[in-house]
Amino acid sequence: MNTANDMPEKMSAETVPVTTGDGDTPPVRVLPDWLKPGHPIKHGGYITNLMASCGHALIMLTRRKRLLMATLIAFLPVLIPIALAFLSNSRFAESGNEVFVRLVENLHITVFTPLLALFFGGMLVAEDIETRTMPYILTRPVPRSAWVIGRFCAFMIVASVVLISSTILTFIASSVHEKLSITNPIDLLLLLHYLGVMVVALLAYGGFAVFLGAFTKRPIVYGIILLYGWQQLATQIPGLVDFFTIKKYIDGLLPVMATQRNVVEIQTALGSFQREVFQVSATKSIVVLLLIMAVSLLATIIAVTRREYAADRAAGG
Amino acid sequence: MTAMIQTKSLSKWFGEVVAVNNLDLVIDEKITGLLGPNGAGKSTFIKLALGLYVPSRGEVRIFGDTPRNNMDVLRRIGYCPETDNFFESATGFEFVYHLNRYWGMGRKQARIAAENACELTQMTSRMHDPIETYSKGMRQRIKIAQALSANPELLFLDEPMNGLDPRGRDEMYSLIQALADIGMTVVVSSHILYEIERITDCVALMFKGSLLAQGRVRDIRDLIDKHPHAIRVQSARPRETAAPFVACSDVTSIDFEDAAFVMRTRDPNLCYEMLNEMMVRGENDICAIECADDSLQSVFDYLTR
Amino acid sequence: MPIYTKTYRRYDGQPRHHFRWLVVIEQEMKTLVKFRIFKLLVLLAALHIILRLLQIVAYDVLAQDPNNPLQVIFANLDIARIGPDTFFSFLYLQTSILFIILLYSGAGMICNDFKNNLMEVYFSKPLTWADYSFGKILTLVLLGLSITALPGVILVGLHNLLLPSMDTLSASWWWPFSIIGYSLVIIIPITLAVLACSSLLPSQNYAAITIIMALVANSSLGVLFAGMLRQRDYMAISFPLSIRRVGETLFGDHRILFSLSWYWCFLYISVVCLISLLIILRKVRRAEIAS
Repeated sequence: MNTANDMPEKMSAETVPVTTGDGDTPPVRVLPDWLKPGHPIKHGGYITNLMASCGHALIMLTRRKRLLMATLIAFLPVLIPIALAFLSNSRFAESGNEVFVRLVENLHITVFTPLLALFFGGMLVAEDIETRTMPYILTRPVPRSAWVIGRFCAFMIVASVVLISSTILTFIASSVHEKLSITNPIDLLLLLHYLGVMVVALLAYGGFAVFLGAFTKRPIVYGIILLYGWQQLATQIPGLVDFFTIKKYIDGLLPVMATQRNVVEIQTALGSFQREVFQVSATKSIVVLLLIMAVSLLATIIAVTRREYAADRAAGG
Repeated sequence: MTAMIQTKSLSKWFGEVVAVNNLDLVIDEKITGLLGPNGAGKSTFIKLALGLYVPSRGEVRIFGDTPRNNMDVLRRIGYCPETDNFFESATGFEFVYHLNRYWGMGRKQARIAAENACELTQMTSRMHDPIETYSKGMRQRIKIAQALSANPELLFLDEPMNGLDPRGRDEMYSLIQALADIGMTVVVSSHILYEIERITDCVALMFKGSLLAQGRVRDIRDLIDKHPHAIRVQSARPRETAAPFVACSDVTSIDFEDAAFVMRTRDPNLCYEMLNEMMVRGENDICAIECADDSLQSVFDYLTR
Repeated sequence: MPIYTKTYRRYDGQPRHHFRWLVVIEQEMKTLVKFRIFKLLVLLAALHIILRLLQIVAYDVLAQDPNNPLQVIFANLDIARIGPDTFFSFLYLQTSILFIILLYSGAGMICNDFKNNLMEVYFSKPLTWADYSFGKILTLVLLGLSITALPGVILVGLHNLLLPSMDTLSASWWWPFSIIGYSLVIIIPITLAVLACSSLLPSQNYAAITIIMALVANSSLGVLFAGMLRQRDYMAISFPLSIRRVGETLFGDHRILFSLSWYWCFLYISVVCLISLLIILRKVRRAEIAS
């Protein structure tokens, strides 16, 4: 229903009604100068388009209440070292170092990185498909690669800020226990190491999630099946199957001390042996993870360029 | 010279459903009305012209080039879609601003262009409110604003009158006319004949994915030979006035009303000549002669019958 | 055949006064079976059922036949033995695929209705908020039961048919009750939680990821707490492990993960169910009032 607000407050000064015999002829309207020929628009280059995409995605991501929910969940580990200090009967059973390493490896890197990638990255393109705003974007002269990369940059900024701040706070909280200090350079180096791993992991998982969002209608369900179903299964199957997971290469980046402790619950002796033998080096891991990101983004760009996203394609409409 | 829009055997099908069928169309007029009932293929044609769909067969050229992912073509096109879909929780201004940025504008330029476009569509007072709070008419206006914001050469308006009140429609008619007057090419789709009739005489009639006719309404009517032309004559003595026409072999029927009659003839020129002579002689008090079926409605009815 | 004029005509049929929610179930089921991925997921679940069927047939036919050369192998193979553990592990393994199916089917069930303005359409019909909510919940529950309890009970029946003796019957008479009970303990919380998220969030994708986030974070926290505090009872924080704990009790499994009483776990599950149910009812009720 059209409301009173819908009506223009007064007839525009630029609208001049013309009296005609039949009263059917529309009134003549004088348009502003900017709409007339001779006022061309200055089009920016690739970087301008990339920045436009990144800026828009940043606003979209940060304005949602959903970000608050994701942040709250990502910040849960901060409470654990503090809770441990109160709840533990054997207070010195776990040192601050061990608490921090366990939390970062088992929660931040293994759980939250893929989750945030799916939460933010999976919805980067998928949201525009779902809300059917793709036609607006695809009818703009923005290079598809700039649009995808811009959005990916926004995802990286938001997800990194959430994860890094949670990790730093967890580090500070863990320092209430023994053997971890916020002033110790070795401990700080360990923190930096983990932050680096997290960023690289976000790049790989994020790229993959963005691809799922552009390629499938339900990126979350597929993401869960692949990242939590397939990855978990592959890491438990003895043999070389785990080479087809992202986790394998992320594990390769973890500090040696941590990787040695990485014992999967159900592991055969053969599986453990093979895992030790076929441990991927840090350099190779970084290369593979960056490759996963690059290939995923490339596939996303191809998908956005080639697929038809005008969703309301009712037959004949 | 290259036509603004040209299609050659353009077809698009989704599975087994043919949405656009073998369309050969050239659009070069300042305002072209794309007319057809729901499901005629108007929106699909527009999406093909915008490069949103890949043709299943044939081709579409805009400014002589294929539009799909073609930045040079897209830079010159504006599009106002039929459906009300917007970025979640965005205000009207933000919606236009971000889309301007995607047009390659810098921040300042995008802001100024968004403000100008909102002013043009009389949305300035509400442009900082979330779109969720807008009425249907305001949503329509903000969609028009984003389409015009970058001053395109070719504008596609898909059912632009949807949801507008009578006054809003008048505004829209005059805006479209004014845009054409300054040299912009406008393609307007609608299933309401009256709307198109008010803004342009040049139409492309679509039905079940095919192009039925294209050109000026009267020219199209003249080409439809199989349907006799209807001429309505108002007269104080309709039966006496109609008497000479009964003898004409080309007159197929005469229907009488209170003070008028409608005759259908295969040779309208002869009938007009006879009526003119009768009027000159002052016979039977003929008050008015009108062509009863060169309206868009009757042309459309004939073509789709 | 009556000839009607082309004017407005009253509806001649009798409106349904009872079981109006059946319409919702019917419509949802029809929608779901149209999706290829849904059929694929159900097929995956069916594969597991077929494997169990083969296991039962192999054990009951081959292992009991002294003349069969494979008898020795099957009789001594613990993993092939049919007992309550078999059905517990069947349901436990079926939980993952069940979760994905319910997530796929339920994540968009309510939010898509909100998004597509279908609530107004629903409530413009003689359908109440209770019918709507009950219909949606029951759709998922029935879907879940069809791949857990139903095949489970049939498999127990098959086991009794293949080994028709009083010993088999006296050993297995309570299995169907445990199967149905454990299936409901798995299905109802997942159904209610998925639908609660679907009614709270604007998109099916966000509803799905929210459930996953909550579940993964909660499971990891439970396991981490238990490990760090050297106290296995903290595992009860993990929702899936709490469900498992109830299942262990229902099937009389003695290999329990933690010693905390199953009452607490059941209470935890019930509270989650109750909160989820309240969210669903509140959102749907509001939609009914608004429309």
